[in-house]
Amino acid sequence: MATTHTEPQETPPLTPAVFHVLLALADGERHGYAIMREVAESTGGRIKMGPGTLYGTIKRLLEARMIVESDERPDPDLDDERRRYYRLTALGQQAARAEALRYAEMAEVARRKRLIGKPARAAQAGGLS
Amino acid sequence: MTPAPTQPDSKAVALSGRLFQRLLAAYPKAHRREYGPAMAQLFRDQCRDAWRAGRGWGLTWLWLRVLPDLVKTSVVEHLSTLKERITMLERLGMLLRPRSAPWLVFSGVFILEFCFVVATTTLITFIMPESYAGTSKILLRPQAAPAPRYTEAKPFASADDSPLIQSQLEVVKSDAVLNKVIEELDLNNAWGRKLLNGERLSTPETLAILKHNLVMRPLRNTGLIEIRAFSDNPVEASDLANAVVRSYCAHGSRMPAAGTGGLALPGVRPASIQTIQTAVPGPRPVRPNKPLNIVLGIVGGLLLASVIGGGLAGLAACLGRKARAAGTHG
Repeated sequence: MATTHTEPQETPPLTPAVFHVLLALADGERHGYAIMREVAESTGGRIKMGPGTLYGTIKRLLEARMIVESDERPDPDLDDERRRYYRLTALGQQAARAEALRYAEMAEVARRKRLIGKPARAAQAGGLS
Repeated sequence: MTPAPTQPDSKAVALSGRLFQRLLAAYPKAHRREYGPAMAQLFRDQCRDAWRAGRGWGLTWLWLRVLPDLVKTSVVEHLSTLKERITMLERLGMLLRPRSAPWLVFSGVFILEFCFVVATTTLITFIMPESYAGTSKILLRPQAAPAPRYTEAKPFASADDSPLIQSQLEVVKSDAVLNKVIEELDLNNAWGRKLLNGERLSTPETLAILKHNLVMRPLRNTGLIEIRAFSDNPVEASDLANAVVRSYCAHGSRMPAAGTGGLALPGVRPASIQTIQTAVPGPRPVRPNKPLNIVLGIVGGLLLASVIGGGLAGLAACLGRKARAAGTHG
């Protein structure tokens, strides 16, 4: 049985491209173009992945078993059925969560050193202390 | 979520797509085969977005962004492929290096290789169809010369006897002689039953098979011609050889005298033909030669196993030295 690890030190750090792809797939399965759009939108257009970077990252994530190709194909009327959809595995979710915690811990350190202030949205929602 | 193209792509978008497809050749073959179509599709989608956003300028900006990405990632993929190959070699090295000593590698490989070669040779030898031989011999006496005894040393040593043997050998091999054999033994039907499930063979077909199964040769300096027939049946093999002799003797008795034309040229017509040896069914097959094949298999196995075992033991020793050196420096 696979065990779930959530401690950031238990998984190696991820590259930004890998982390962005994992985050894009956190909401559900997507194809390559949708992943690229999601990454661009979530970063305010600052990161636009090229086909080489995106599929190189996907290849490595597949090899690491952090994502898998989905067997289900979309309705041909709604989308191009040749597109390949990918989804997170438990291992991918665990790695993304660990990386997010690692970022959060680093942000907390930066906040304590007064390099950054409290995020307005998080403060309003009573989120991160 | 996905922009389904509702109108045909502009020429610039289509051209960009085709150009990108060509540029995919920069990636390793395996990567291209696996992800090439998806990458091309993604780029076409990006082209449509860029065209909608900024027409020509949008496409230009896209190319300026994608080209460095393509160069960088193609290099990365090639390096990754190279690394995989090196890893495989290292794994092979681990496989050979282990359990240490090269002599152990040599012993293991030697035993495996030797057993494999001997087992294969033996198996093939016993699978091969068996073939029996029937052998007859005839003695030709030349004209105008005292009849020599075939047991005498070199009774046909003179150069004048050679044309007789050669010409008579051709007569023995001739269709006229062999057709009589086919007729006498009813080979069209007999071999038809054996080879074509009862369907009768034509005479040319039977003749071709018969010629393939016959070996005729002169025995040097004796005036003898040896006729050897091969078959999977020992009785049939001897019947074939004897039938060829009978047919040839009958044909010889009908040959015209010297100087009257045909094959009976001066010096090439025998005065008499005598059957020296009649073929009898052989007790054991002549092909395959099982003892010889097995001995050859053992010798070949020893040689091959020594070469391969020695080579791999050398490689193991070399890898072991490298590993020790790396361990010392590391």
